[in-house]
Parts: sequence; structure tokens; C-alpha cells
Amino acid sequence: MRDATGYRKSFTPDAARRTNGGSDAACNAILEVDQLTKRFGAVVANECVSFDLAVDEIHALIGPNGAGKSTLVRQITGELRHDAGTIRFRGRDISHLGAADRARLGLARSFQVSSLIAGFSVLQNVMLAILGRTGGHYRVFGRAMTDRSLLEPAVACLERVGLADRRSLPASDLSHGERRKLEIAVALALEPEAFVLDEPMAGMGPEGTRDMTDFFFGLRKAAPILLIEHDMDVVFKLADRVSVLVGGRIIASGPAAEIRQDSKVRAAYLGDDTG
Amino acid sequence: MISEVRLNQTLVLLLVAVPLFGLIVDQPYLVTLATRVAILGMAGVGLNLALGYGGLVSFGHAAYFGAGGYVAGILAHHALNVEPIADWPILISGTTEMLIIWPLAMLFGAALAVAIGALSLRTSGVYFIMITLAFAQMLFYFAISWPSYGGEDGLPIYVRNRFPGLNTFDPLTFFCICLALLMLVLWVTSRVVGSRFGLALQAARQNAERTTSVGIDIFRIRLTAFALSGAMTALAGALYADLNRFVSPSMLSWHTSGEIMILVILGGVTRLYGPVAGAGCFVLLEQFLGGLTEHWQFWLGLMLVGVVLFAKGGIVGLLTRRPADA
Repeated sequence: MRDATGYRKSFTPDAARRTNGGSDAACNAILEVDQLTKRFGAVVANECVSFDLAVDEIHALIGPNGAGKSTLVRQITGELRHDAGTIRFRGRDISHLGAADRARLGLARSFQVSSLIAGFSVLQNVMLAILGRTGGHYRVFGRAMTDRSLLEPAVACLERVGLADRRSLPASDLSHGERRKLEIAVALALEPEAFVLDEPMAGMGPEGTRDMTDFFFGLRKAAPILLIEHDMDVVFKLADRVSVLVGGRIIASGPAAEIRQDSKVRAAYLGDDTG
Repeated sequence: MISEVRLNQTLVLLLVAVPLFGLIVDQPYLVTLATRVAILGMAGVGLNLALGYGGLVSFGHAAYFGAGGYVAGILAHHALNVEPIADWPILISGTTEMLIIWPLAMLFGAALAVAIGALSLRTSGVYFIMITLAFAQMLFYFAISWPSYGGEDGLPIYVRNRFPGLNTFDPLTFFCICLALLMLVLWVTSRVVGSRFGLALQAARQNAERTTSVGIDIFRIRLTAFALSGAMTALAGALYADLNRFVSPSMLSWHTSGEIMILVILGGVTRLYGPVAGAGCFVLLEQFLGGLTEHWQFWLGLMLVGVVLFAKGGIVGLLTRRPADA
């Protein structure tokens, strides 16, 4: 079933069966996580975690602190190797690929704690992402900062998040909210096939959160989003499907409206958190 | 306080003025001193690419400096004794042509850096410092115990290597060759640092996680920088061998690694001309303080402590009032 490139949206029937039971999104899944397990010594961080991300959906992953969300994200992006299970992206098993290779395949992530290049300007941060996507980072001659094939798409990304007028500031001079926006601009610059956004609203005020929520709603047109988020209002406003991670396992998964009613979820999580 | 461009111009001007002044007042040793500054500066510019721009604190750059020196020494040794380096499967003979020696020295330096870097770049921090030191020391002991090329006593180069159309015996001519190469290395470095590759390399230094997450393989970026760095330092080593007309294992010793590192830090890490300023300062101290007291290195050490504590951008950073990059 594979085409010449070895991946792209064609799937084996076996892969389709393994994805989220009966969901109509299953045959469109771009990211499939199957039976993922990670242990740190005796501590089980993730146990048999399975879920998938369909094209043009926002799938939210929620769970209390210490549920293993960050560990899961790091396994998906390739910063951490899982002990068992498989991760498929665009129909291809990416379990053995490093973080840089997964990014080049089109898996873009944002960081929970802003991870920008502090000494670089806002523009340079985005240009680096364009560079990563388009390649050519072994070119040792030619000025990067006047290279229009880097500059123009970078400025376009900054305009989309409303940071274009801040382009020459050092990233370290940005306010917290602006840094979050720059994170998104960097993710946009990668023109990914899927976004993994790790708590993109962390530390944002109510107004900033509202702006970003609208923004993400538009972002789904660009690529599907796996959203790791704490703010329940945001999750239920944005997500098509929600998976609930508690104690390293997924205890419920389904359409947002269903999850909101799920008694197990309310007891384990929503009840404690939303009050 | 002056702009960095103006300071760089001043440095080059000084470097040119000193040997000319030396000839006018009939003090030819000033030409040799300036040549030393140019060569050590070049070795430092090479290290700065790895240590400064790449954040790779190599404590083993003597390996490339010495390797360049030995390439020059061994080629000249075979040419002067008219015995081939190898006669099977193809005949390889020595040479005294600088234009052949330089690229070979750079190629060998780069290859050595790739081999050493491929292993050491898997570590970081103190381990990286220690493993690069260990590799350089391995080469040092290898050179000591290799009798065909002088072993511990080193290898003399009886006649200075040749450059077509120039009399390389003339100290001023040799200085001009070294200065021209230094300027070339500086120009190449400035282009590399400002390129796409330079952007990726400096990003990897500041935030490896972020750089990886945009799809850049930082290991390969760093290895490439390490190879370039090794090539530049090896070229300096080849010139140094020619200046002294002598190669010895001391070029490979950890003292040499330390000296190259000191002049980079003294001059200013991630400053293009920093190592040149550092080399100037180092040679001046060695010459004039060394004439007053044999403990001149104590004062050098004191100066280094001062720079590290109070002027993180080194001499260049201090004079231009631009603090060091992150």
C-alpha cells in the first residue's frame, strides 16, 4: 500500500484496525500511538497508551499533574525513546527516528516552557525554523540574514501571529504572551503535517487565552493539532476529541461532549479541577 | 570605547606596523614576533569557531596544531632527504612547496577533527573537555614514541619551505604570507558565521533542544564546525613549523591546547578578531614580561582571571563595551 516515498496517507488495513475503535476518524489518522509504554526504573510513566490524531481535527490530551502528559509528548516528538509500543506518523513507523528526523517529516512541537533562542532576534528564531524545514544548513557561504528565501516566509509567519513589528527585538526581551506567540510562529514556519502543542496557554492571562483560542481554531485548517492543555474551557471550546490521561493510562477517549459527561472522568479529574 | 569594526582595523594596522617598525629601527626580532601573533591568532580563530560560535569547549586543539606542524615537517623531511614517503602502491614523495603542504595539512587536520569529533561530540560539558584533551595527549605520546620522525627530540626542517615567486627566507615576506592567510581565514570565518550554517551552529549552542525540534541534526552541524576548526588550526600549525623550522611533540602537548584556549578567552570568545587581539597580548606578555621575570605566566594567569571575572567579552568586548553573547 505504500507509495514510492514510503509514507504519505496510505495505510495498511492492519494499521487502520488498530486505531481508535470505530471512530470515523480512524482511517484518516495522521498520527497513531499504539500501546506506548515508558518506565523510569520501577516507575511506570505511561502504560499501554493508544490514541490517534485524525487529519483536520483538534485532539486534546488532558490529565492532572503527573499524569505522564509531558513524558508522552517527549516520546512522540522523539526526545525520549519509548520502551514498548509503536508510533506511526503519516502511515510510517517513526519509532526509530530521532527528534530532528521527526520534525523534518512534518511533526512540529511547541514547548510547555518557552524554549526560544534567547540571544537571537525574533526574526532569527523564525528564520531558523524555515532553515530547518527547507534544508541547506550546510551552506557555509552566503549571508543568511539577507537571504530572501529565509526572510520572506519568516516575516509572513510573524505577521500571522501579530509579531511582525517586533521582529528585530531579541527574543529574551519579549513579554510572556509574545513568547508564546513566537513559539507558534516557529511551529507555523515548519509548515507541519501535524502540530503537537504542549500547554500553549500556560501562564497566559484570560484575554491572551481568548485570543489564542480563536487563533488555534483557525490554525486547524493548516494542520491537525494534538493539544496538551490544562485549561478546561479552552479544551472544550477547541477540541473535537478528548483523551484523558490519569496515572499514565488513558481512562477515557471520545468526542468532547461525551467526555464532559463521563462519570469516570468527572471523578478522576474534572471534579477536582474545575470545582 | 570604539566600534568593533574600527577596533579590528586598528588591530590589523598594528600587526602590519610592528614588523615595519622593526625593520626601520633594525630590530628584526619584531618581525618574528608579529609572525608569531599572526600564526597563533590563526590557530585561535580556528578554535573560536568551535569554542566560541559552536560552544564546543575543546581542550585538545593542540592535536590539530601539531598535526599541521607534522604534516609540514614530515613532507619537508622526505623532500630534503630525497626518500619517498611510500613507494607502494603509488610513489608518494615529500615536498617543500607550501602550496601543496597547506591543503594537505588542512585536509589532515579536518580528517583528524572528524575522527575525534565523531566520538567526543557524543558527550558534553566536562566530559567533552576531558575527552578532547585525552585524544590530544594520545597523539602527543604517539609523536614522542615515533623514532622515525625524531621522537622526543622533534624534527628539524633545515630549509624553509618554498612559495612560488617569493623568497620565503626573508622574514618580512614570510610574515606577509602568514598575514595574508590570517586575513583569508578571518574572512572565511566571518562568512561561515553569517551563513545558514552559522545560524544553525549558533542556535545549537544556545538551545540544542529547540534547534533539534525544527529538524536540524545538531550532531552533524557540530561535527562540520569541528572539522573546519581543525583545518584552520592545522594550517596555523604548518606555518608555525615553518617559522621555527622545527616540529616537536610539544606542539601537541596540552600546554599548547591551553595556550590557544587562553588567547581565545583573553581576546574575546565569539569575537571574530578576538583571538588576534588575544595572540597579540599573549606574545607581548611572553616577550616583555618574560624578559623581566621567568614567572611571567603568573601575571598572565592573573590577567586571565580578571578577564573571566570582569570582562566576559575579553579584550575586544571590553574595548567595544559589548558583553559576551549568551
